[in-house]
Amino acid sequence: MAIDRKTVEHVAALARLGLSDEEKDRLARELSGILDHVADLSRWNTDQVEPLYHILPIKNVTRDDAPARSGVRDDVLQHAPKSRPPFFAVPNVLEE
Amino acid sequence: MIPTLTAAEMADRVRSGDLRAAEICEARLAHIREHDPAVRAFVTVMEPEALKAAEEVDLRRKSGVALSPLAGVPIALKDNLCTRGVETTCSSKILKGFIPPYDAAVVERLRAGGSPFLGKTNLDEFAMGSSTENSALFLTRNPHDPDRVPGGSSGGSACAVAADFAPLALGSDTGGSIRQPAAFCGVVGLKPTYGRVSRYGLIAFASSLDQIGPFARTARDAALLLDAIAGPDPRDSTCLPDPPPAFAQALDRPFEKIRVGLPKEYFGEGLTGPVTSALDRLKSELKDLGCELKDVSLPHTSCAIPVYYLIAPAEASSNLARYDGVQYGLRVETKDLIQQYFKTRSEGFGREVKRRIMLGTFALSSGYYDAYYLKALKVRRLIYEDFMKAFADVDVLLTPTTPTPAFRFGEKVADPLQMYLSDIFTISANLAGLPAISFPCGFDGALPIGAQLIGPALSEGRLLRIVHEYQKNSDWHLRRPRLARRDASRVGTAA
Amino acid sequence: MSAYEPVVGLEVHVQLKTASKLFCACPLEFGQEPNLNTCPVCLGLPGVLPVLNGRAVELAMRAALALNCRISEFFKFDRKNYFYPDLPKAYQISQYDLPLALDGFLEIQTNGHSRRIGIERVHMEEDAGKLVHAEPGHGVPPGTSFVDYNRVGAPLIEIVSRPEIAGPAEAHAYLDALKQIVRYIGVSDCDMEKGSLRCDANVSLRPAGSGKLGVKAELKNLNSFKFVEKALEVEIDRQAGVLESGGRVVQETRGYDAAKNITYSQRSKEEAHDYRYFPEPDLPGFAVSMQDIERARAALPELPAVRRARFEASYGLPAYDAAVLTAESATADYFEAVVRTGADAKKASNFIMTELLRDLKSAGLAADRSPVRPEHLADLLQIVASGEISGKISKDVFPIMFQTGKPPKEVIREHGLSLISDASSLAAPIAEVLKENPKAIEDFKSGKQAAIGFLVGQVMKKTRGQADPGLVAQELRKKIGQA
Ligand SMILES: [Mg+2]
Ligand SMILES: [Zn+2]
Repeated sequence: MAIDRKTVEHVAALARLGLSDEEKDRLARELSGILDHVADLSRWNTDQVEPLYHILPIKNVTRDDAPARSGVRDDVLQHAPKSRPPFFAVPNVLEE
Repeated sequence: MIPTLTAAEMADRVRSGDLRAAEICEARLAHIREHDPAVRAFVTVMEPEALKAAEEVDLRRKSGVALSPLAGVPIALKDNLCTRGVETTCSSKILKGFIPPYDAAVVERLRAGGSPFLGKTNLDEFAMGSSTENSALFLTRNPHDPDRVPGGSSGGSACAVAADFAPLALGSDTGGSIRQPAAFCGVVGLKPTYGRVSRYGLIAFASSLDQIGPFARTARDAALLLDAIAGPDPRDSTCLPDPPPAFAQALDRPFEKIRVGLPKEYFGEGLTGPVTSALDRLKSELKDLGCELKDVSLPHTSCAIPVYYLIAPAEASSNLARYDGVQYGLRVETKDLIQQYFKTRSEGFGREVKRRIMLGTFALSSGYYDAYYLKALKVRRLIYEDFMKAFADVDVLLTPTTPTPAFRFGEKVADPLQMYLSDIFTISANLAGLPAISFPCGFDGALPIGAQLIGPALSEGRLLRIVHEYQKNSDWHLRRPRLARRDASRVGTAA
Repeated sequence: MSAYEPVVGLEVHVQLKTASKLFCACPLEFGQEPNLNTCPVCLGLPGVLPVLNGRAVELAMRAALALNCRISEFFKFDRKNYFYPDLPKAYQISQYDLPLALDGFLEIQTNGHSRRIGIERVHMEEDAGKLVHAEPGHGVPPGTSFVDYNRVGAPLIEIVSRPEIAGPAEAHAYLDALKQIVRYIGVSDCDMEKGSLRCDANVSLRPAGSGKLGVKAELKNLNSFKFVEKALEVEIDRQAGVLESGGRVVQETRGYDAAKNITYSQRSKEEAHDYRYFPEPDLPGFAVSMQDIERARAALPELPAVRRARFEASYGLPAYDAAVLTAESATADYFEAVVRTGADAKKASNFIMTELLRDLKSAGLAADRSPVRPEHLADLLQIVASGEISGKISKDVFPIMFQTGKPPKEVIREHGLSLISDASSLAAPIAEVLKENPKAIEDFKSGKQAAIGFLVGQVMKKTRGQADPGLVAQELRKKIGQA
């Protein structure tokens, strides 16, 4: 299928990716090419096929409810791009 | 001379006291200092850490403590494996300055076993690529031909072993990222069964496909490394609970007759002449070793690339959403948060990563999920079933690892689809969760050619056993590149 | 308003009472220092993986069964993708197309009759963190928010009702019933102040009697049951106004301003949310066997409605008593422990409803933490029954028991509260009363029987109620006869 610029902009907004005009045009072209290749899959009838979510034959993997403190907080805060210990700091979400 | 020792030999000599671990480590570091400027396998060389770990092994030996099988054998780590206290970049600008407060499970095990870590190796950004050209940091050169790519995404790790910087290296394989560079660099690369090795601490690309595996020169060394890293881990819910067999030990068992399947879809057009003839020769050599060859078919092989290029980007689009400049890595400061997301991710990610995030986001988005992502999950089952049917008749499958030997820099970067197609023979094993190994089986001039064996789930032992038997009767794996001592900045720049 | 009827559906998030988070070992403690209870997993650092808390599955299953749901034979987790700074991975691990449980109902009481509200699904998911908006000054650059991830990854169940709730009052009743059951089975504290219960409401109007649903508004983050009711009231009025003036209701998210008692649009300028759900590849699925379900069902305690009915039937309690006593399982357990010793059920009920619950309430305790042990309360009732102390005195004894935790006998002895039941110790106060009240004696002698009552009262006063009133009357008659 052909991807137009509007679709590229919509998808980029979902993915929070800032794109230049040049990037948008190039991605529209490239994604269209890849999706054309992918369209091959429609040749195969999969009406009766269960989607394969997990390749492994394992199920019901759980752990015990045993609490333990990691002690990584200060280390992580120290390397954070911006923090005001004991908090991480972010610019305000502009109210829309 | 130390460089020609295998990991197994190094380990034996450290244990017996013939060589000190620190001597081995120093020699490797000196070799890296001399030749890595031309190859550029390493993003970070961990000289002090490696020497300290080696010295500890020597101390342990002196005090009579029993050493683990790989104690004192230096190793290189792909830079998408988290290392406590050492920057882990995924060769991306967005992770610049990220210092993990924890070790990946495999790193933790190796550290405990006394492996000195020589450094972190270059890769395609977030392991997305087939040539290491997508590294945001620099290009890595194929030691066999500096004008050619080392393959990818684990290009740095493959080079580290090929150039004798390290006898062992770890890589990760999502669609061929261990096997393809192993083939291009003339070394052994193994992708284990999905779930064989804990992914905890491997920076995720596509969670349902990623697996960590060894690079080595010999099957025995690969087996030793797999022994060290395989096995259950309570921190990875997709890690199999079964304790693994002792892979290295099993190599010396008598070689039973093995039925080798030749999937016709892997021997069609697109193979270069030298690859075809190397594989033909290999087939007859395997027959000489007592293998039985059989033609088989995997009818959904042509679906592998489309399925992969929907599933992997979809998972990646979600896995890479966390890089938003809030808790770690790059942040481009702006007044409001939404702009910070857009700017940080726009500046932090390279072209290929953006392309895949876009593709994956699209495949999951409302209105397209069923036609793309869900369809891919269904066809993934068909691909899996192809293998199950084939393994009813044969024990392993033999294929070329790649259609061609290493290509030149820039040859495929312009056309993503062409680049994707270079993984055509390796991707199916990831989609089906199967173990697969690439090993050198010939040369095209200076360029190594790799063959791939794919086995049923948990058959790593059998794959290693076959390669081991083959290596006892061949010497392709012993051919070393002639390393130039020159500045890598001569040709090209990073993508 | 009569032309339209409201249709309400509630989405309630309840935090499960586990010791650690849903996918990592971080402790869950309310009011902890910011970000202390975080680890690489819940901070979403690169390379980490989730591992499911088995206890959370158990509790979630228990809640689903108590809400009469069908537990899925197979359930899995999915990723819900969206960007927000309180969500470190930029996706929430939740459940989409194969949730834990489906198709239940909750019995609610409104206006004295009971009604079933359908429950569409119960699914498990992880909580997000908390954004703290900076107070100005303190050297904080303006426009900065702080993030605390202590709560991120806390185990939640989301309980989604069918749009079958008829209005604000029924919504309140639904929440009361839900909270009661969930607390009863020990799955959550349901404390809205601590955020362990949160509620969103969907509301739409349709022409009265119509089967079709109208366009709904989603009211977010209503932080008390009262506010849910009030927000629904004003939102219903608002929508009715829109419809009656010929307008159209827009599908949107709205907030509730309690101070102004209005709802307001929170519609974002961005494109509609597209969460891009897909199966969580890091977590294998979960298969539930019939045995698992039966085991969980067997482990369920008696639910409040059943217990209430049983209290009426087997203890002969009035409906009101049964409802009060079974409102919380700890109270009901306490009552049954008292009655088990042979105490009279109605007397025990009266005492618990008045004395015990009052003191527990002011101490902020549940009945299972009562300083007065059930057997001590039973002893006290027994002592009253035997006539050793009066019912009135028992109400003086009880608060001391509550304060000290001592058995009633000890309290009565230490405080000299037992009935004066030998005539000799009554001689002095009776003599005094007779001396002080010659008029009453005359009245009595002249045939006014009521005067004896007055004199008994005076003696009781002098003995601070400790005298046996029967004995006092008998002694008074004797003394007056002698005089
Ligand atoms: Mg929810
Ligand atoms: Zn945690």
